[in-house]
Amino acid sequence: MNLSFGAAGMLFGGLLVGVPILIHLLNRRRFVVQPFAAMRFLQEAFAKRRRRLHMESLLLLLLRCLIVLIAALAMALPFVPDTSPLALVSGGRQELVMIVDRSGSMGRMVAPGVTADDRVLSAVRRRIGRLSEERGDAVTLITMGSGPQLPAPIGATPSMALAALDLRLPAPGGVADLVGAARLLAERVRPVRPGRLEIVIVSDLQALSWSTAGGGLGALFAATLEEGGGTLRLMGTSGELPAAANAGVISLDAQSPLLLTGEPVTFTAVVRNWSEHAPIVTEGDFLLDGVRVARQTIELPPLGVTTAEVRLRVDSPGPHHLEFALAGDELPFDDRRTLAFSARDRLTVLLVDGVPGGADPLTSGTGYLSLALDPGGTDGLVPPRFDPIVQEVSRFEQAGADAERPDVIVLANVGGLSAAAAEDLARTVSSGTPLLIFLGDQVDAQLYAERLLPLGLLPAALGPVMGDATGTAGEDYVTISLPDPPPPSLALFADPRLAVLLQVPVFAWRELIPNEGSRVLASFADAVGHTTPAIVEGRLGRGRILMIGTSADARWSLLPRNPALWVPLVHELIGALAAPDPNATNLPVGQSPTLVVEGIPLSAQLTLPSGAVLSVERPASERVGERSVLELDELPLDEAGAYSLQIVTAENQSNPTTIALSALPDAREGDLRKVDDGTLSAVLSGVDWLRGGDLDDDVGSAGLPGDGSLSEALLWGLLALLLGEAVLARLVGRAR
Amino acid sequence: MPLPGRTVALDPRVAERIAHLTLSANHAVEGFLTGRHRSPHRGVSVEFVERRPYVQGDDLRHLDWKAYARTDRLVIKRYQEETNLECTLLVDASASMAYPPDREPTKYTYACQVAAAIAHLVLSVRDGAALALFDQNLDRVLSASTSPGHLQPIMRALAEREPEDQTDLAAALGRLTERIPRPGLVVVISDLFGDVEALASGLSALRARNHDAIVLHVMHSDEVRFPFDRLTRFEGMEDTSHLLVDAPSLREGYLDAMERWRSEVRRACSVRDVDYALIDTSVPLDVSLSAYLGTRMARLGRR
Repeated sequence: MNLSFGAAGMLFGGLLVGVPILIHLLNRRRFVVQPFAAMRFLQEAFAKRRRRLHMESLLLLLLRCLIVLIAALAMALPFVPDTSPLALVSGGRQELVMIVDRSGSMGRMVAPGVTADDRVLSAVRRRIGRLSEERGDAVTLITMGSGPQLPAPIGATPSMALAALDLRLPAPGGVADLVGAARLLAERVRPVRPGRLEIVIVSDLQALSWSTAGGGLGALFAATLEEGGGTLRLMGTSGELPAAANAGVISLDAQSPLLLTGEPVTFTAVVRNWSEHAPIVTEGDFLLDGVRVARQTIELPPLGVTTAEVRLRVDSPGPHHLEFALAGDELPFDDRRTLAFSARDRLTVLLVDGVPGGADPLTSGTGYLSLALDPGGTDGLVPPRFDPIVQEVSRFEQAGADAERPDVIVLANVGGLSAAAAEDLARTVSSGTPLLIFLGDQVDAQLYAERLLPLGLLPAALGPVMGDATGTAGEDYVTISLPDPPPPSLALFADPRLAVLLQVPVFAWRELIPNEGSRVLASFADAVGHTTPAIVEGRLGRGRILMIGTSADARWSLLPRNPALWVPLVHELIGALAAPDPNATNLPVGQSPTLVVEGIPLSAQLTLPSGAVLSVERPASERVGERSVLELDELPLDEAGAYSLQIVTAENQSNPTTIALSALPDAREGDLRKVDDGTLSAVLSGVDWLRGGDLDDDVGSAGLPGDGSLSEALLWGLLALLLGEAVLARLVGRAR
Repeated sequence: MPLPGRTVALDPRVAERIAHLTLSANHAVEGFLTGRHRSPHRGVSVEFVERRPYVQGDDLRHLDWKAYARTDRLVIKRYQEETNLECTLLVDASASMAYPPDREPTKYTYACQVAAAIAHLVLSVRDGAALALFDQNLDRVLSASTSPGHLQPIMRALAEREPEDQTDLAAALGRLTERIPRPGLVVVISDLFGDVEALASGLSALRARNHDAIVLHVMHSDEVRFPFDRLTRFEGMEDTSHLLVDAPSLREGYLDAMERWRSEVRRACSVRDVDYALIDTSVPLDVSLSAYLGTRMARLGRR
């Protein structure tokens, strides 16, 4: 009899069978002594009942031992195959777990209009359809792609699982996270389905997924099977198809992180030929908000990579989608890629002045900054990118940091802030408004240390003033030096033709002592090569902070007086600060967006690439200053493509905020090479597994052994024994 | 060896009840002592002894009408009936009578009180009372005497005896029969744990000598009801036998055997025209005795 156990350790509980025997023997020693006169009648009764008394005693002992043994056996969760005679009481119930690969590569076309995913789901439906509701068969579906997911309840009835499959599942996407699926099986499925499991993995055996799974995968499955028993069967898909000639878009980016209306921006798509042998020549289209704006011919050698660029000017502010789409091939999912972005008209920059400029704008840092941001005199040919607003520090403290809804706040030679203003500024920065700090001769290092540093507003602590603040020495100065490679915000100056601009002298500066987690973007270097941090970047909440070690006025350096350096430097720094993080709106398939919105969100409505709309009322959000951090866990981006999110806020219910989102397929899924047997064996080492052949086998049409649980029958037997013991004990007059 | 300080004394309650019996139920005493045991000297001599208040059931022929005329009270005149009736109390002093060994009253204690009460009744009407104690043998025989002071030797003899040894009722009855010179009344007070046949033969021997006999079967409630409910090692009180059993499992069989045996005892007495009464030691002595006496009187009254 091929008996297996879901919790074999509980069999040791059978050793407790000694307990009733021990109690029986101990009871034989626990008696009272009673002198008795009428012994002859006792002996007479005993002589008549001796045999029966012994039989009753033995029967009771036997029943009690059986109760312990059967309880231990039932707790060990025994299973028998449906070929066993015991299947009559077990019912031969099947507990099927199907781990279905629904990664992007499963979108490969295997026949006209039919993807590998279609075939797999069809085969899975047929397999589940052969299960029996009456027999108590159960099935657990785990899909891999946008993370391991459970489309149906764990241990669902076959009809429930089929209903889940019949609902519209998202298109294949993401990477098959085998380890995640195995962990989900071990940690969530196994605890509630402790019996024998027939685990079937249906996968295209893509090398990418399997070779990166690591050796822990086999151990995870082994632990799962060891705990409750079962089998692991691996079914391949499209194994007989030839390697596809697949070209895929592996990235699509804007050259500038800050997209302003009216300014041309270059978008670059990177295309790869995943084929090892076949060159590819195809067409690629750029589509802006669904309208083709450019077409390019893509020529790719085997395993080659090329780029396609388009220079576009976006005229309307707001959310946009740019898509680069290749002509269709066997794997459509990576033939297109979408970039979501938002175009701005102009950025409002609040310049807080520590030294009121008076009549001459060239005496203060804010004057130089205003000139750099809005030079004027362009005859209206080029619209200004920035809208600077100058405020004296006292006005800034009074009105509040967010009063003007600035896109960037700049502190220029501000001596210090009141405690309340510092806290207000910290709230505003935490909610996402970037901050740029220029130092200068008015800065009170002690006030900064007491009020700004503890709130996280300073990415570096202030040291002493270095150099010659009076500028009388003349010969003793430092210049800005960039690391190699330069940070993106200063990449412009890495060009050797522009690097010379950085040679403008800085006579005085403060020593900056970067905080832990802060990053030095540029340094001051003297004539002999000694360096000290010049520009330090840090974060507070969702806001970025840049701190410049010298002033924005001409007292400490000649930077503001050199427009050739000053203007691009200010533009690049503020542009980099104000640019939205593209990763916040362009997410891998399967992830949920987390966004910062103005006001209190009341509802969110997500339009999917297919046009379907999902809504969430009262989405979870966290208030930060005047903004809210919105976490839309209920709205994962399960399909690659363009999404549009409309958010209604309490403050502006009639005019919802619209945000463009994009779900990006994992470009590596385009590599359709299959895992070799050696790697497969290594990945699944430590667990016994069966190669179930291909989908042509109809996902185990040979018939999986149906293992039925004996636990229920044993529990009924246990109940009967308990009743029998109670009745017998009552009949023979023994106290239990 | 008697236990130090042990005495047989009538419980005050019993003594009062007995006194009441002697005063108010004289006919009961008569019933106990006369009945079929007619005096061979009937009608020879009737001597006035005393008067007592009339109670319902008294023979109206004995009403003292003169006293009624003088005092307006109904008074009965009592006479001493001269008889040579001799009542022998045969008390079982075997080891089994010591049950229960750990608390009072034991069957022996209870039997002694029964014997003392009957002796008190007998001597109170000036009949002769004798005492014999037995186990395997007959011993401690006190000859009959009609003296009221004879009660004290009887009670002392009962108190001095300690229950021991096995029971041999047949032998005791046989020897007792030989020692009683003329027909009288023999009251056997025993748990009767012996062969029914031996009892029957002893009673037959008594009846053959024209003795009247009463068997007072003293049993403890444990022996009647068998209330034990645990695994118990029962140890014989007259021998070394023992039995370790789950008591509830044997209860039914024990009670069956006990009832069967008591039926045989009752039949053995009945066929020999011997009175039989079960005396449960859990029932107060006055209740047991008056109940038996009342029953005996009623039965004799029907004859």
